[in-house]
Parts: sequence; structure tokens; C-alpha cells
Amino acid sequence: MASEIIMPQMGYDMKEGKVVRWLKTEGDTIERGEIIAEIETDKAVVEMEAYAEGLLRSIITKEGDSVPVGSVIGYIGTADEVIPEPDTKASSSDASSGSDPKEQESTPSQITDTTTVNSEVRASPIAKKLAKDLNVDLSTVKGTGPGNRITKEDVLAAKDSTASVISNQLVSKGHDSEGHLPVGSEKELSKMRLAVAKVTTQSKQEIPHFYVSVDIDMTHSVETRKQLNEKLAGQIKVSINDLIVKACAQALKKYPSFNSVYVDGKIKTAADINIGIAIALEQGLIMPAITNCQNKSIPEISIASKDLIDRANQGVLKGDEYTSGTFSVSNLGMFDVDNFIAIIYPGQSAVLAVGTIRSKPVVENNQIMIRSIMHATVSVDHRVSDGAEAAKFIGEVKYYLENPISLMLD
Amino acid sequence: MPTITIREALTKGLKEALDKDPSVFIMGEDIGPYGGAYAVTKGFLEEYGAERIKDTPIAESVMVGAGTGAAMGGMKPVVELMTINFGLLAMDQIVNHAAKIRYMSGGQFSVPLIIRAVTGGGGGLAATHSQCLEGWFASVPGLKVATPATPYDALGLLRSSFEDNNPILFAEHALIYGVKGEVPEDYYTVPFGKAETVIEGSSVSLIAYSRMVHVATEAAAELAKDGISCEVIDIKTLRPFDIESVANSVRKTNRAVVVEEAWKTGGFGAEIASQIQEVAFEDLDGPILRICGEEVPQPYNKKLEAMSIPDAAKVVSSVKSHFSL
Repeated sequence: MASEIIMPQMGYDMKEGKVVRWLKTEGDTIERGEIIAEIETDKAVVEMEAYAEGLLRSIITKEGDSVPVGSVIGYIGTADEVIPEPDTKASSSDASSGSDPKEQESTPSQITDTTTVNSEVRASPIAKKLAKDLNVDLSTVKGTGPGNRITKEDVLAAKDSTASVISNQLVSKGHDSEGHLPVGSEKELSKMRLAVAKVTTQSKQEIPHFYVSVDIDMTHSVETRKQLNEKLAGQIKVSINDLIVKACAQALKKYPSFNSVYVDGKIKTAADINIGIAIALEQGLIMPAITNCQNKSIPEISIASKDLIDRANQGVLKGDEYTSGTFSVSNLGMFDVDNFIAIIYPGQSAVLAVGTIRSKPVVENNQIMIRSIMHATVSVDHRVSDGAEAAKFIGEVKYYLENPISLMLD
Repeated sequence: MPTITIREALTKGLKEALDKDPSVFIMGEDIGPYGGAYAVTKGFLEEYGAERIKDTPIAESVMVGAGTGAAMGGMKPVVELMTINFGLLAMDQIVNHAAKIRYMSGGQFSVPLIIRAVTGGGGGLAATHSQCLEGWFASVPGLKVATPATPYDALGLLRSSFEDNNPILFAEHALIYGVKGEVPEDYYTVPFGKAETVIEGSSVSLIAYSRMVHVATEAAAELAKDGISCEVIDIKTLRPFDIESVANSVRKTNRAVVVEEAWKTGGFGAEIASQIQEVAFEDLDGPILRICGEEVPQPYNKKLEAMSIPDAAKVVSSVKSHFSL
């Protein structure tokens, strides 16, 4: 039987994906594991592997089209296999008619034709009536019914958003009844911004955050980093952030609560320590993970981190790199900030936020000394842990960064 | 309130009429000493005598013709067709005579005739004894067609039939004679042309009659588990058909599904769907779905037979996929 090529779910909140590019055409031979297409998720363009081998028999979703996760976007099979009809809505009484291969080959293109050529709005009768009554422009409504037909619910949802647009327009025209400032401009959110909006809102609504902060004396870490980079002689350039990731990995081994997730009354602790690093892109924020940090040395973490950052900037990260994080580090050190607190990524239980390292006077043994101080705050899911344990955890991170030689021992 | 079966409800209704009205008599094959193929008239011969409980030859045309004549002559006959399939032999008597005499005689004659007929498949009786033909009769002006699903309605509609002055086809599904339900001791009737909301719901209207009311009810319970709230409407009589109640339900749910055991092409479900779109088109949120019997002569093979008749699982999956729910 021919194998279905399925739109994969790359991220727990991914609902649909867009086929950006097919790297193969119908009839091409495909090896298992070969990259066959590029898929755009909410956050990035990722490469998609084939899970079967054979010929690319049929492309169902054409380039530029978005389909829900789990949809069949094509088929891989042998040359003489019969490929199933893409539309399952075919009348059952007609299904028994003989299968003409020519007819079947033409089916996918017919399907795509109707989606592109048919510019007329497909809406149910009640949707049309409601749209008229509620003054909703159906051409702006996205249909979620069979064949993307606009349903009653779609119109009601559109009406809600239209209402907010109208109120915004009123505001911008000076009709502000609630004393809001007039709106200067308005723009649609990018896919990535929408995803960030959704994920952070969900996190703040569902996860009861609490925060514990410390000042960490980074003097030794700064010196250690310098020595390491001299020793590595330009082959690898270790960053302060790499040391922080390593310190977190060590602390997480001792305090696995912070490498866990709360799910339905249970705490599930991850087998591996995968530390997500926040990367700011022009379009928004992403948190790809450095996997298996428990087994990685500082240079190995450094290599993995640089690779993630490079590929994130090129937009070619793989799907599981977005979703495999078990703990995260967010570093705004380069932006000259004293301190900030971060929002926990859903699916994790903690995130560490660090600011800029500054020379500060500190009192040690009754003497004022100048040290390199970094402010760090851990945000923790209160369902998973409490303040006392969080204090011990961040204390452990602090210990490793203040005594970086101990980071070399594993 | 006593709980009785549909069979007992029909027996009660027939006895009541025989006791009350000396012009009532019953004709049919094997209804006498044998007590009826489905035992509805068991013991009637002993109680009411051969004068009023008449066993007939295997001659449906004669049975209905004689019944029509007797009705014209002032009697109140009940003709039992062992199955609705045998009604094909009496088609001319039913459609061209019983149904038309009142009209064609300018009201000089009326035909207060009740034709009880066993309908439906699923009993392993093969292609010629398993059909649901009540929809055919429902297209004939001059006839009324009752299709009860519960003991309460079986008795109530039978009483209304005895009170009616017109020929009535009373279709009893073979597989639901044993269905139990509460029936009050006090006299009541169930009117023709009045549907009932069996289950209230908000998202989908499941419209059915006779045995399919039970299938729809079972499906509604399944769909409720997935958060899909179904309203189940029992239309009870095909002619007259209560489009207003059906349309009101669709105006609420915006989604209409007809569940019918008969074949899809030209079935009564097609009539229901058509009338819905005539009066409630603008309230629909998708095409009306018909879930019907497969378009094949009913197979004798038990598994194939089961596959040819809609069941709850088929209703559940069809509703979900049709409306993307």
C-alpha cells in the first residue's frame, strides 16, 4: 500500500503547516530519511524527511498551501500502486465504479484547481444570512467547515474580531469613550508574533509563576572563559552563556524538579536535560534546545549553541529542536540590562533570566572590593516546586558559576 | 404507570376497539388459531369468535378490497398484512381504491380502513421480506401513514386511527415489537402529524421514525460523549408529516440529519430533506445529511444484512465527518 506523507506536528501548539517548497517532483525516487519538502510552521521553515521509500507518486498539497496537522499532503509508493483519492468526501455509492488510472492522476490537480480558481465565497446559508445581519464581510472570513466552507461559528467569530476592529477605528477617529489614547497605527501580527502571543498568554494563564533572584559573582567565570578561549585558540569560542548553560545542567542533575513538567496532577521529570536558549530574531523569539546537556562538556555546549544560533538566523531549524527543551535560559546580557524575569515556556517548569555582568563594589571580609556581578532570576512553576527548593537550585547555579573549575569536573 | 411492549400496546388497542365498537373486525393471514405472525392477535379468536377474527387465504388484494368494501358499507375493518412486502400485491386496492374512493365519490363514501403492516429488515428474512415500503404509501394523497417507535405512540396512534374516517397504513417494525415503555392507564390518543422531540440538543437534529428513532437515540448518546449535542426528533407519522416541528429544531441546531432504514433514492428521508430546505434553507449550516439503508436488495447473510442497515456507529461517524465535527 502506498505510504501517506503527513503534515507533521512540529510543536505542541502547531495546528497547521504550509508547504513552502517540494524538493521532489512526482515520479522522483525517494530514499527513506531523504529531505523531500520544506514546511513552514508558526515559527520557522523546517525540512521534512521521508518516512518511506519509493516513488513520489502524488503531491496533494501544492507549494504555498497550508493544511491542518495530520493531513495527507502526498503519497509515496511503487510505480503501479493505486493511490487513494485525496478527497474522502466522495459519494459512497459512486466509490465502487472502476478505477481509471488517468482519472486518478488528474484528481489532485482538480482539487487544487477548485481552491485557486473558485474565488466565490463558499458559505453555508445560515452563515450568509448571519453575515448580512451582522454586517460581516464574508470575503474576510476563513472557513473551517468541510471544503473550507464558512460556517455559522466562523461568522460569529469574525463578528467578534470585527467588533474590536470597529472599536479601534472609532478610537483612532477620536471617539474614545473610555479615555484611551488614540490608536496611531495597526498591523497584523506575523505568524511568529502570533505564536509568541499565544504561548506566553497560555503560560501566564495556566502556570502559577514565582521568582527567586540572586546576584552571582562572575569574576572567576569571566577569567575562566578567557583562559578557555586562549587554550582553544580560536577553534571554538566559548561564551559566558555556554558556562551558564553548563552550570544549569549541573544544578538540574541535583534538582530534577526544575527539569520537569506539571501535567494533570502529575509531575513528569525529563530523562534528558535539554536546555532551551532564547534567541531573538527579527520576527520574534524562539527557544531551540541544546539537547543532552548532562553529557556535554563546555566546548560541546558551545558548538551546539553556535550551530543553533546560526541555523535559527537562517531559518532552517528542525521541528524537534523547537520542542525538546526541558529548561530554558534567557540572557539579555548584551543589551545592558540589570535584571529581568522570564515567562516559563509551556511544557517546562522553570526558566533562568540573566542580565548584564557589571563591575560592582561588594563587601567581602569587611572590605569593599570590585567584582563582576550578574543578576539572575529563576521563574518556577509553583505546582512543581516551592521557594526553598528554588533557592537551593539557583544557589547551586551560583556556586558553579562562582567556582567554574567545578564545571570542568564532569 | 404500567410498562408494556409495543406488541402488548397494539393488542390492547385492538381489543379496546373490538370491545367498544361492534362494527370493528379483523382480517388477515394466520391471525386466528395461530394468533398472528407476530402474536398481536393471540387469543382473539377464542375471545371474539370467527365472525370478527377472520383468517383469510393468501390473497392480499382480496383482503384489502374486501376491507375497503366493508368500510364503505359502514364497518370498521382492520386488515393485517403479514408483511408490508405483501402489500405490493394489494397496491391497486390500496392506492387506487381505498385512498381515492372518498374523493372520487364526492364524499358519498368514506373508507375507515386500518391496514396494519409489518415493515423493516434485520430479521434474517432476506430480500423479499425485509423492505421498508411505508415511504411509498406516504406519497399517496388520501392515505395516512403511521410509524410508531414506542408502546405509548403505538397505542395512541392506533386509537387515533380508529377515530379517523380515512384509510390508514399502520406500519409496525418487525424488530421493535418487544420494545418496552410506559403507557398510562387512562385513555389518551396520539395525533397524526405531530412530531415529538425525544431528546433536546443544540448542535445537530437527528430526524427519524420507527426503529431508527432508537438508533438515533443511541447515536446521540455516543455523540454527547464527544461534546456534540444532538436533538432527536421522532416524526411518528409520515403522512401527514410535521415539517414545522422538524424545521423548528433545525432553526435551533442549523444542522439536519435524516436517519432512515429504507433505501436512499426516493426514500421518505428525501422528502424530509427536501421540505427542510424549502422552509429553513437560510438556517442551514451545511448540506442536509441522509443516513439510509444501502441501495441493495437486503442480503440474507447476517453480517451483510447488518451492514446494509444504519446503526448508531454509522450515524456517529457520518455526522462527524459530514459536518467536520
